[in-house]
Amino acid sequence: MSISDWLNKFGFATPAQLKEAGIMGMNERNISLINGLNDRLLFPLVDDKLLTKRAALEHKISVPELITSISTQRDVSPLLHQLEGEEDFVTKPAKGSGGRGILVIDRLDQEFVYLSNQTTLQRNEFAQYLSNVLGGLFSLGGQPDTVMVERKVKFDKVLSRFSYQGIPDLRVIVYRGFPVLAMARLATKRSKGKANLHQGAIGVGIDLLSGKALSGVGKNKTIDTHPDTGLKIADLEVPYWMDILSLATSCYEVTGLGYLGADIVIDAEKGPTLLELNARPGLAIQVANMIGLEHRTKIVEEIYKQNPDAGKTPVTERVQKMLEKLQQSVIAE
Amino acid sequence: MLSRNILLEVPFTPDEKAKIWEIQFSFKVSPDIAATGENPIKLTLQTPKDYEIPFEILDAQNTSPGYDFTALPEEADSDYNRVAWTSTDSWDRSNIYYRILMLPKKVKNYNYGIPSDQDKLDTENNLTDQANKLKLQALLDGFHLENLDEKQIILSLLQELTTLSADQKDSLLTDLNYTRLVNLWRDLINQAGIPAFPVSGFVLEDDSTYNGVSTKTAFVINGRLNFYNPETNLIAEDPTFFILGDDRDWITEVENGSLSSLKIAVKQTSLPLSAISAIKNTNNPLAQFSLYKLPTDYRISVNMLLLLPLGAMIVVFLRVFVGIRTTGTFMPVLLALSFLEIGLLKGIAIFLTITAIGIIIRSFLNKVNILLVARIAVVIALVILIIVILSLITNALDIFGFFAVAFLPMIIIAWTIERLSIVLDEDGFKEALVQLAGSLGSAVLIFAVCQINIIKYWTSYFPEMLFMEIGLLLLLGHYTGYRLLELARFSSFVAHHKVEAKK
Repeated sequence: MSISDWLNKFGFATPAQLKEAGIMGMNERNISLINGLNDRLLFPLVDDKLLTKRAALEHKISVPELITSISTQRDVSPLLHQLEGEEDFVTKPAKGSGGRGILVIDRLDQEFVYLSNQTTLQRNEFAQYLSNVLGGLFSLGGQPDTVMVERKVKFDKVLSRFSYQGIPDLRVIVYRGFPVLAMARLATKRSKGKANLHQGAIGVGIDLLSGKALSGVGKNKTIDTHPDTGLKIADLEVPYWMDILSLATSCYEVTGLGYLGADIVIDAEKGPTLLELNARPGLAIQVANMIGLEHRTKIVEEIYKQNPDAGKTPVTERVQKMLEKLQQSVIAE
Repeated sequence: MLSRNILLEVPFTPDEKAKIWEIQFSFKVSPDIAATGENPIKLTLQTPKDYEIPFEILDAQNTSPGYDFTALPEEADSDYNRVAWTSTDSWDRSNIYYRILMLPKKVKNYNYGIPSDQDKLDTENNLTDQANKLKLQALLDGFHLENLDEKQIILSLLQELTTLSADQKDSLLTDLNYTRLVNLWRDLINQAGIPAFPVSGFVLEDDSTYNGVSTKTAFVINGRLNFYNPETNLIAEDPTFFILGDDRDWITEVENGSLSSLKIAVKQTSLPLSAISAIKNTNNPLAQFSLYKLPTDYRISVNMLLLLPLGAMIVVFLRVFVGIRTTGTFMPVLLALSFLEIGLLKGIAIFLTITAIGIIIRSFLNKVNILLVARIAVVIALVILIIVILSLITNALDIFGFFAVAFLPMIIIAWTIERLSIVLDEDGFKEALVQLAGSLGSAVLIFAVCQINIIKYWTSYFPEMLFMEIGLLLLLGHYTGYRLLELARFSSFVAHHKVEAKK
């Protein structure tokens, strides 16, 4: 028995096997992608969702409508009054990460706040939550934060029926201006309706060429059927797929980041809408797709080799070029 | 590092040790009424010259607050040096401490204790009662000393004197104008042509204290100093007797006051050769930068500090090569430091207890609507309160032994609770547990590494290790390979590819 067989038996891969599969490790990601391609100066733009929203609007990218935002403690009670008339909105920390600190609210009255997952909060609990957000509970390094109040996205039925309690979103990784990997994130009962993989959501790799599901993964296990909705993962097909790819790709111009993750939802009325951007997207997307990230970045490098100014070509051209190259590699296999 | 090893003889391993003698003199001086600013009280102590004695004086430390300490100028014709303490404050009664560290010389000086002044070796000059020379010679002639060697002469003289009856002794002493028999014995030996004189000092014996110096009669036989040993009734050399001077009255002198007590404490300690070389090489500029030059208490904290980068390096290693998640990047280093201070098992027990209680309190606090920063501060205050209560309880019940409250470890533990409770809030119980285990595991590993003798020794005696650490860190920082835990995380790819290959 060889060392690699022996390692595989105990649930370990050998470095050589991972290299062959084109897997990008954390260290490589941190050095080559984040340090190498993402200028730290550009981080605030993606780390602060309010700034991201503004920049996206300038580039005519669809984003959820901002109702209001507050950044000081004394604005908390005026905000509560202001929100009394509102329906279907979301409150979130502008500098939050990993979907933390987001509340989806149907409405609120003098006593209670009615959340979209059918639970209620007391009004003073909600006020405490707002003040915690401002105090930096959810922000990186606990810096003072801003509360954003956004119009709730009306999720498209095609995708949302796959998810337990709403918020199915799509994550597209854009490498040097070209889309390289995509996945859909489906909330489960275990993830408490959140679309975050390490909180128990399911990641579904999406074929860049077709927008169809490749394979599903939850907690490092392959999943064929959604445990809560009972739908077959393989039946999942993302609508407006080309629009979604273009939207994600155009975020390269918005941010200037060489390695970014665009989180996109499909609004029933507005179509593909950018939820947030991430300058340090995780590596679980490789497992969801069963495709190593390095296989894809290699393709982009080839494109740049042919045309050093490939990154400056129009968005649609870049998407077409990438899909063309992928088609070729599929045929080659 | 190499230069420190070669030039300063700092060895690379900690176990090369040498035995050194530590001699501490403590004096108490009572000032006279006459002692004023113009007539300051002054104590002088006579010490042997370094080249005279079979020891190398490594260091002489003076701790005597309120006194000015000076080494008096060396006198060429004297076998001894003198150091002096002066104080103008007549009310100052604090003790004077003087500590000498000395290392036995490899090459012994056999002239040790023998006066270099030829006059002193002249037996004529050693006679206290010059007037009685004839009487002494007559007495000597009465004993049968022919054909005896020097040692035998001394012993038989002693025997002759001690076998006299009490009346005979009295009449002999009065007749020859002596007060003590030992002085008569010494003068008889001198009269017989063997140099004999009194010397004062103390016996070098580990863990002994003496109230003042003792005086012995020394004889010069074949150019070596010999003593009479009453236990064995033999004349022999005695390397354990450390001679401070030949005249008892000259060893300590007090002007404008009197010596109310003199204690001499003798201790033998094993010091690493490295430490000795550090004390010794005072003239080498490299040695001037030795950490051994720092005050002892400060040196302890510097040694701790020097371990910090090593701990940080281990954390980097665990994160980059293994992929362990911890609460706060360098929290494990601080935790390990607190374990070093309070002990591993006790440290872990205290840490887990306080963390558990702290997190329970924190979950109650979550229900109170206050600002986040205020809540963090409240948690810290409450954790300190728990610590104080626990130390009171354990002290009263005597369970754990006393739960000692050390400042730094407690702060570190309090802070860890805060970090952990945020993780608990944001990522849930499981992630908090993973991070807690990661932190604790890394801390234990760092603790274990810092416990290794050679590591402790190297970091404290070769501060240049820091450059090696920096170099190694720069290398670690360039590692782009997979982490150990990633090999497991992405292992599904292997299975996937095997299935694909079969198709």
